[in-house]
Amino acid sequence: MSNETISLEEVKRLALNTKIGLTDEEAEVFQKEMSQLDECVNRLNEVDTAEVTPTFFGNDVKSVFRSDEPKEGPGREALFKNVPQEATDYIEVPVIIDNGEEGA
Amino acid sequence: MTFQEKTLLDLHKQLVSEEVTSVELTEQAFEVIKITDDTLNAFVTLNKEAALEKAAAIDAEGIEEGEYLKGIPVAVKDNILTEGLLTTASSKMLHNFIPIFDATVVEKLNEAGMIIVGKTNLDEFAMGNSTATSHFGATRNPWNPEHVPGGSSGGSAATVASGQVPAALGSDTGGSIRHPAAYTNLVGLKPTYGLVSRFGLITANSSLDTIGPITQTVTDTALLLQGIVGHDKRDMTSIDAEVPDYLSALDKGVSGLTVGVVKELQNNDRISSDVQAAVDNTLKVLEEQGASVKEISLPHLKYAGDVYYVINRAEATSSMQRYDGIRFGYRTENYNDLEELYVNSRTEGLGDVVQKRIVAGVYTTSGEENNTHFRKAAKVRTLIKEDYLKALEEVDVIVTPAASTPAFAFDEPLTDTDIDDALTASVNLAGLPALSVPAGFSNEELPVGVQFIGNALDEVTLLQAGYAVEQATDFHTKHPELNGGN
Repeated sequence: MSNETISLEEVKRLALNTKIGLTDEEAEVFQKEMSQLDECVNRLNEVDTAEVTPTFFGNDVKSVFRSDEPKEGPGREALFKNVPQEATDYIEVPVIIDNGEEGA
Repeated sequence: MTFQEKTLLDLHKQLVSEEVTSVELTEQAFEVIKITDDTLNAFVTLNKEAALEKAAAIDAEGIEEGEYLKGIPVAVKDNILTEGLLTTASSKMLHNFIPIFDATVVEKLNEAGMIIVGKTNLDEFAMGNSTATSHFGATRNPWNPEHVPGGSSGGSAATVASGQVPAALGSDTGGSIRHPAAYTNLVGLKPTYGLVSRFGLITANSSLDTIGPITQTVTDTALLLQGIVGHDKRDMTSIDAEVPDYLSALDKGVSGLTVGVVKELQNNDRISSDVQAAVDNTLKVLEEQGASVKEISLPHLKYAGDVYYVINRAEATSSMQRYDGIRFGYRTENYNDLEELYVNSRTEGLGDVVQKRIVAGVYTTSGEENNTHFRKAAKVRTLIKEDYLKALEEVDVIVTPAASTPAFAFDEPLTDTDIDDALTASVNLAGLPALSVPAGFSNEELPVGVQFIGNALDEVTLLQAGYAVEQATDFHTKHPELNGGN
């Protein structure tokens, strides 16, 4: 795999998938980061892992559930403390529908 | 007067005998900060009013012998949540974020009666090795302000090394406690994954993140560790195990201990000669005290840098998805629709390094690359972990450099981190504990550290080995001169 593995357009598309906007210059820098990842993987491919189970967690603790009992939450005042824009007790966000009829 | 040479144990004795009060210690911390922090920039936020109020309450209550942490000032890395106190992760994204609850470790420090004097600087979202990527400016190394303090817990290291406070909490995802400790002549512990609750830690890489102490001595690390360990129902990775008494186990000695040296790190030209000399000297000291040294092999260690690189990016992407400009944090002023609100808030609110890791992480986890990159790295991670576990059946503790070089200069950034990732991030990949201890000085009079790696939940052996080396050497008694005018 080489630098051309992933095009600048693809870099920009991936960035937008994670809601980050890139200029052309930035996309070129980020492209290098990705080819570096390809180089990492090229080296890792020296290792035969056909029979190896992947490790995704820091230890073997299994998923745990808390008991399903109602309890006090932090309250709306606390939850609204860090909201950047609020309007009449709601979090303000841009309109996401045109007129309620199409594309909603 | 600074806190240099004042250990937690010294301070505890003075508080119990009423030679000093908690208010005096707290005022002293703010005094030293006032004199030195224009140069160092160790803190993002100070907590003066609340700290002095709490210290006064502690003085009124009194301090009993054995309440080791009570009344003593401490600093907390700014990616650990503190209720009502600004917590930024050194990012513009969280420049105005005031948590509505405490992290479990903060709750524990508060319950133990420690006085939190402020929040220390870090690489933005703990992603870096220099504390130079902070939105609030770089932190400088007290040993030489032209050099980095290491990262990402550079603020926590600089504040303790300069004597602003006697101890601090850091976090370690790939070396972020141990590197800064080594770069500033301090003791730093990355505990076993799951030993210390991460509830309330702003996640960088969930499968690697840990919280741990940065202090001046091994004893102080044992004391601070004791204060923050324990099972926590709010962290599903938290281990429910019996907690040993770290302090009483310290001076058991190393006679009969088998110390491993890593075959693959011998004659490695990427480890500086100063650092290698410090490792050799440490082994000699351990042998003199009755330990035996044995060569072990970690055949997959050379892949640790690559594995870490891939997993770090993948997990960063996942951790950073929550910052969307809607419910908290930075929100752009430039938007016409929801998509623009998301994109512009994230693009304006996050720094270059963080953005790069997020986008690279999307690449490693989407489409075909999820298999060829992320899963592949996760499989080699298993092999690295198995290597360690096998080696630790043969030896009690493994000794390596804590960092491959002394602290680098700001104008000579360390671009190739492969060897350092192999030394420290490999331990995070395996979920094991590791302790960084002062072990010497370079020709430029910069500190050098060694690292002890042990079996899961065997912090006791690491602390014993570290203590033995510390007591037989005098490196830890040396302090940087930039100290607020003793």
